[in-house]
Amino acid sequence: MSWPTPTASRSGTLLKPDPRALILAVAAWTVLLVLTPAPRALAFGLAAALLLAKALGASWSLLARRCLALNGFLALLFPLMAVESFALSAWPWRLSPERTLLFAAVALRANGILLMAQGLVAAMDLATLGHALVHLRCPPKLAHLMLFSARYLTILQEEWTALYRAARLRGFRMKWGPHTWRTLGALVGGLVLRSLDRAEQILLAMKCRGYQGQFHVLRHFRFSRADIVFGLTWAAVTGMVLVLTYG
Amino acid sequence: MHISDGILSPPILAGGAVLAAAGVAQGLRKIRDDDIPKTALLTAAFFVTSLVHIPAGPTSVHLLLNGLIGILLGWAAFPALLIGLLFQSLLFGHGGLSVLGVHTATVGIPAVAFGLAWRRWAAAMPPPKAAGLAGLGAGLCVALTALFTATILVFSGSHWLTTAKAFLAAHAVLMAGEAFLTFFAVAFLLRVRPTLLLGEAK
Repeated sequence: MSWPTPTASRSGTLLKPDPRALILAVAAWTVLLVLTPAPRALAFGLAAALLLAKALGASWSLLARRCLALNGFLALLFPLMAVESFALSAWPWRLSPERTLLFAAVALRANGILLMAQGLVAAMDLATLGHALVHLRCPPKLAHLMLFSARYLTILQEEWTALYRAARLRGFRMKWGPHTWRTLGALVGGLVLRSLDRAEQILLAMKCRGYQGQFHVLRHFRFSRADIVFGLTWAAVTGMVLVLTYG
Repeated sequence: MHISDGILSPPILAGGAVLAAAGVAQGLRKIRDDDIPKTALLTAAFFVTSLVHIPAGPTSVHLLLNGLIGILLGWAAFPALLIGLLFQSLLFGHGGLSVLGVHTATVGIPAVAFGLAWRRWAAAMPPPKAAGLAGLGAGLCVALTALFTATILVFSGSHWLTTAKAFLAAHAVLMAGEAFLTFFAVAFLLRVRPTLLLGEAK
């Protein structure tokens, strides 16, 4: 299995803002939408997030794929939330208009946040993200942990695939039952052991190279004209959401 | 099973973020520099296992394994879970950014509480008993996570009551599976490498 690629290839776009600016923008956007109750402001926010993601080079197909899980979840949630009562005496079950409106706000808000996050932050690879977090004064240990685990995701995925394939070759089929749990228990145990052994090797290798608990960042980001363009666009969008909410 | 963005009320999101931040801060304090590769690789390993889907009737469930994470990582489970959840949100669009804190807290608090308790109690137990305790605790961790989530859903508005009930029902199924899985995984680890979980003393 290959890992999901970043939502955008940055090469084709004119606008290449600083990753730090993108992270801050997504964080502030998340707070803004969480605090916005008005459906029309949320609808505008969703459209703006989509356009901004597009302007930064996100591809339609990847954005759609990432939104699929969320909207599948929301589709499941809709009847659970919007039906007035599931009591047998209330048959035929009816949708409550207020709840439907409330649900619309939830769906718009969730998609608005997801699109902005996918368009702006998920478009960078995890190494850039961790790197930018270091510059944003995220605790260094947390950033190191993130960079390290991102680095070994693919490798451990391959380890898991190897373990799982070996089990399948011996006739294992995943289905609900004690045998599955027992086999998965052994596989998870095996994966844990392999991770720890690998971690031990990594630590020794790092120590050989003079590791003393610091992780030096070589690349630095620079503020550029793209950041001003991006910042102004983002501020205009935010202002519009606020106007639609309180205006 | 994730709660998406947009559902929980702002005070609950803020409360979750504060709890998670406190847990992560404490976790980072407990991680020594030499522990970073170990913690990071276990984070990646549990991220990989969370992608395993097990068919359950018409649908499928994915592993949570917070009991086992707590046993293996202790306090470091908080930063590990935060990173895992962040990856899930960015790479797959599962869960959301605003709920990261709430998720880290609901999954992490039972994990760390049980993990620390298990390490203390299991040291004095024969391996089969220690593995049995791990299994029971893992089931309990899933139950607590589901219970926390259902509670905050209801606190976010009474219209989420049915959703909260469905959420609990789905996790009841997972709970039994995770209990068995953790039992076998811990029994395996105790047999293959006893020092790993219980330290050098045993």
